[in-house]
Amino acid sequence: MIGKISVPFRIVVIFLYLFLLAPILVVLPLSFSNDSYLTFPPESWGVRWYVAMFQHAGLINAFWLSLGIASVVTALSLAVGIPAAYAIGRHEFRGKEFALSLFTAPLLLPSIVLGLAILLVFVQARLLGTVTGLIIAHLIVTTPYVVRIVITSLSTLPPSVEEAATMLGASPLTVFRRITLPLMAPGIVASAALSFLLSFDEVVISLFITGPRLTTLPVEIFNYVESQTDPMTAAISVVLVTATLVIIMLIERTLGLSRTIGK
Amino acid sequence: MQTLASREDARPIAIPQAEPQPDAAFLRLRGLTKRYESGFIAVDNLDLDLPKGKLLGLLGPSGCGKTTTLRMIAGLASVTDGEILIGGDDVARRAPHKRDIGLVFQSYALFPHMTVAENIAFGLDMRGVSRQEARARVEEALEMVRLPGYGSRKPKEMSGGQQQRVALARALVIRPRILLLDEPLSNLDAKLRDDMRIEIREIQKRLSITTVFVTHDQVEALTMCDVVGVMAGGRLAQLGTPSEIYEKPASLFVAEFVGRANVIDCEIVGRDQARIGDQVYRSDTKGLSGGKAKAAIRPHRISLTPDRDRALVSNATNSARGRIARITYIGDIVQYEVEINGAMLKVEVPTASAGHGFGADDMLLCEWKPQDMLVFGS
Repeated sequence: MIGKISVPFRIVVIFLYLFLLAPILVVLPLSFSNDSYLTFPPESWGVRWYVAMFQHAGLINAFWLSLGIASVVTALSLAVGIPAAYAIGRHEFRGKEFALSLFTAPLLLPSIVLGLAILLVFVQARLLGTVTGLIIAHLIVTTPYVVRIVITSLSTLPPSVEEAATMLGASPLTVFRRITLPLMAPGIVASAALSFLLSFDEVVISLFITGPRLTTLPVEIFNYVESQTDPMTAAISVVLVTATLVIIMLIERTLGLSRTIGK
Repeated sequence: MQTLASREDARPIAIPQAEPQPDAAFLRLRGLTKRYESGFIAVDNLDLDLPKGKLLGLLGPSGCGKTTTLRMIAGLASVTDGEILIGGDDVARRAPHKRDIGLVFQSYALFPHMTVAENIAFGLDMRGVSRQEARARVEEALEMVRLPGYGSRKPKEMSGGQQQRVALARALVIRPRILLLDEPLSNLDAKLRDDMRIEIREIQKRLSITTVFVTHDQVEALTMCDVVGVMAGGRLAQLGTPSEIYEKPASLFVAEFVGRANVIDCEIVGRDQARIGDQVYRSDTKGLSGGKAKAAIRPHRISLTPDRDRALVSNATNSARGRIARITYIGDIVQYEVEINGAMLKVEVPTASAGHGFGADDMLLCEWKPQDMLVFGS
């Protein structure tokens, strides 16, 4: 665990955390404002905007759409990413470096460039404003993370452990199921959580693809903030932050964050 | 564990192998070759016979092909050419999980997400052994490696030596046809290594299991093995008992790799006659009677006599007059570097008998027997 930390370092860390968390800490009281516009501190208190939020059909529809898309995207990026990572991490083949670059290049590209490129392709393919289009676009963002994280967790797993199982009589499939998969589990859970959150939060690329009849939650919030300046956005933020925290705490409780993300 | 069948297993407890004739080779390698795509030949046309129940040590420097040979026997490396016969069947092209071979890795390679008992039971599970029998056999295996009651531990809660024993139990509990050990002791500290060496050898003898042991440590090879194969450049430089390897090395490489040796340029001037500088010594020239050569003499096979005692030197030994250039105290032994005829000879004398009071620059006589001077043509 963490050893002794000097006092000045401790103070620096506290200030860094304050700096990072300050916006969230401001949002929390703001969300319980009963005012019709954003003021800090609020003049009256209440849960008016939480109620309004749950009655806002556009937001609720967008929430369900985002939830659905994030779930499908997570499942698909694992289905694509795990075998890809296994092939790259465990086998030698021609074009291995190329495959790795191909799978991880989107990590390096600015989302705005990626979004524009996707837009150009999707216009041709008639995928704009469709759920399929959104899922494909999100997969481009999430799969590189899955591949990266799973390769990392594979690299900490020495091949001799799998070879030992082989020598004891396990077929390749059994080795994967009984040895490789359980030992990769922390990496898989981490990449699943990350895929879900990335897809659920995705704004930039979604902005290019969504249309008036199909809007994800972040895009809906974005549009809402552009036209309205009332404390409902604060209420939405608090709900989203809480949901994210719950997911992260569940991972921490079941597996340990340090274990999932790396050594 | 969930796939363990609850049915009664018909497998007998005793090792279910028919005993072949005692001297017949149980493991045979025939022309075994490993060539990589790059053209590099890691193992070059290897032929080897190992009788049942014997322990073979493959000894050599890194890159000599010993580990590749082991991995080919295991099936973890593909065979380019040749045969691997175990009890008569060629397994060279058989999938590794169907070969019924036990392998102990240098890194132990225990399954970190399973307990010790689950680790050991894994191979039994793969063979469909009943849960009841598996439990008994796991307990028996733990007792064999002197770890009774450790079944519920996780590997990471155990020391390196204990993990190594679990790995050994896991490999043996399936009653493999052959046991392979890949540098099993090199991750252990010196004291533990000595203990494990004896323990592994005792278990191997008790089970009388045909075993191949890969090591770069000559002490391990000489002390543990029935047969030692010294490898170099993908070939067997020599195959023999530990004393044959040490006393009658087939080449200069073997003489230098196994044990220490003074290597001195010389010229063969007749059968069993080798000249260093202007002096001719009696030696073992292995039938050669002329040509440039190198002589190898082990440092502890040379004795030192004060120069004034020259009259006492027996005619049956070689002797050379020399000057002490350096003295190094190494605890058990004292090492003298003696200059004779322009060559430098290392001489090792047990500390207990080194009380001659020799000092640097003293003149003295080095003596060695003709059979301790091995001459190899170059």
